[in-house]
Amino acid sequence: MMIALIKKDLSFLFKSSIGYLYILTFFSFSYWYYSKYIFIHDQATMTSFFYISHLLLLVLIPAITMRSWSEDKRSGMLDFLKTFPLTEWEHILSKFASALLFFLLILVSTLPLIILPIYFGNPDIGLIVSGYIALFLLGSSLISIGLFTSSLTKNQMLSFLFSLGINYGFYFLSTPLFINSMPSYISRFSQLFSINYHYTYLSKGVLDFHSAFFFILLTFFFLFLNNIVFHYQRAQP
Amino acid sequence: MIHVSQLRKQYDDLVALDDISFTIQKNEVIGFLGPNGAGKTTLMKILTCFFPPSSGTVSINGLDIHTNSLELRQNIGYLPEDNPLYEHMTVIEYLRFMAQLRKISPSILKSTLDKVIDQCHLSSVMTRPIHECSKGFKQRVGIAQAILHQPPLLILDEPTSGLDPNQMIEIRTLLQTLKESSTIIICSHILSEVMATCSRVFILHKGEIVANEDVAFLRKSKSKKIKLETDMPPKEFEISLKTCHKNIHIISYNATQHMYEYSIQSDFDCRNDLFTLITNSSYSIQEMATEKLSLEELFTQLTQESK
Repeated sequence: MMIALIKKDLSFLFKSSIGYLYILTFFSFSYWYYSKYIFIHDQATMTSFFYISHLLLLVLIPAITMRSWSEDKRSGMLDFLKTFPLTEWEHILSKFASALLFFLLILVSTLPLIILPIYFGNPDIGLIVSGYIALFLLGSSLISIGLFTSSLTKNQMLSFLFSLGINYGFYFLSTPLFINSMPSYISRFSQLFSINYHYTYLSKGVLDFHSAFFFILLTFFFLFLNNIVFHYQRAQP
Repeated sequence: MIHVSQLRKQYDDLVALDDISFTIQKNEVIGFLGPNGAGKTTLMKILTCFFPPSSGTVSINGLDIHTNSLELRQNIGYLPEDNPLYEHMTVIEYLRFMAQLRKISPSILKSTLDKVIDQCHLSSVMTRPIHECSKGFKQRVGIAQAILHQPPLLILDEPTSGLDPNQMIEIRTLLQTLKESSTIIICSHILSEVMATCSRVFILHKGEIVANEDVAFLRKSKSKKIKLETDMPPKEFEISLKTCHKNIHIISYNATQHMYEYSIQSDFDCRNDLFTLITNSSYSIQEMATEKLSLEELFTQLTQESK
């Protein structure tokens, strides 16, 4: 049953061409920024790609997930599917899996970019692998946040904006603006909850268990919140 | 088949269902009627396991709604009132997707799809995207997904909504066929639809069942409307009724050359009383007959009685 739900979500993305649009947008922006560093600054690394990618994902993933539940809620399909022999977790995890698979496809589409640094220089492969792992973990957390906000409203735009707000909230916690305006004991503590802080750590090639654990925890936390919203909405008239 | 006992659903201060109980036998076709806010949707949501009741028990085919919820859902086919569909899919893709959700084995998937497509006359739109189909076809796709897994219980909310008269007849015929293998519950505002398809009707009002009767019996037992043709003038007739029979009311009358045609209503069979009253006053009766109430009138009468 979960496979049927995943296939249905993925087929929508590609049938409506919106999936290709997301892939193209991500690829074009990241390639533009990345090639600028390769050709203008003569740096045969993928650091610039991993830097711009995580900023792009903060916006792109809310756009991918905004319709996940919202559209089904608006059409009445979500309530209808709740009368099927399907547990809430099966339903949530299939939605999560379809978004994650699509995100993986986006990442796979960027693999040809590795050719450039290999051709022009001698890049650290370990750094590239850890960069992709960091992107994957960040992506799964952002998908989970996006699904949660989508479960709250029938309005896709509201879901997008709310998700964007949460993403930038988590990002903002380790920015100089926030750190400098807060007492040091608060900023030291708050950066532990910053996606930027943990992403930077992981993408630098530091395989830090705490940072990986942070993203996994964040993913499950928002999936759990999604489940709570489902329970609450079931009880409503 | 379905046993509902002391079922209650409360949202904060609002009581949507107030301790209702009923039993539905296998292969019955039941109609649920009621004005908006009567509790029909809440009852359907409980029967389809969308949410649990505040108290009370529901058992369908021996499966309890609290303890066997997932198993029970597999035994139910449901067509919601708004009939949600994935409109970007073609009809066949949608039915295949629904069949997979209903855990229909891949070995019988094709034959099952062929059967429902034939039953619901969908072969001409099989490969058409649903958003390009007419409302009638969309409604038939909704019915097709509900009967895909041959459920023992079929719950249809406004099944003929948006269909033309010919399509309505087709659906009625289909329901007659399905009756042999399933118990059917129909929620409808189209009272003639309930009359044509259901053997029994439940009328819900303010969360309570105000009628649970065989359709024919309900009509007969509540037919307290009388057509009377007499030469007794309205003023005299009204005064006599007020003094002797306070529960008999003149609804309307027409005057035609010394004769008056009255429409009379009471809460009991008052034909003997009327006969005695008129003949004792030395007037004659040309005609007296009970009038059959339409289901619409019955519905209004029953829901207003319990206000």
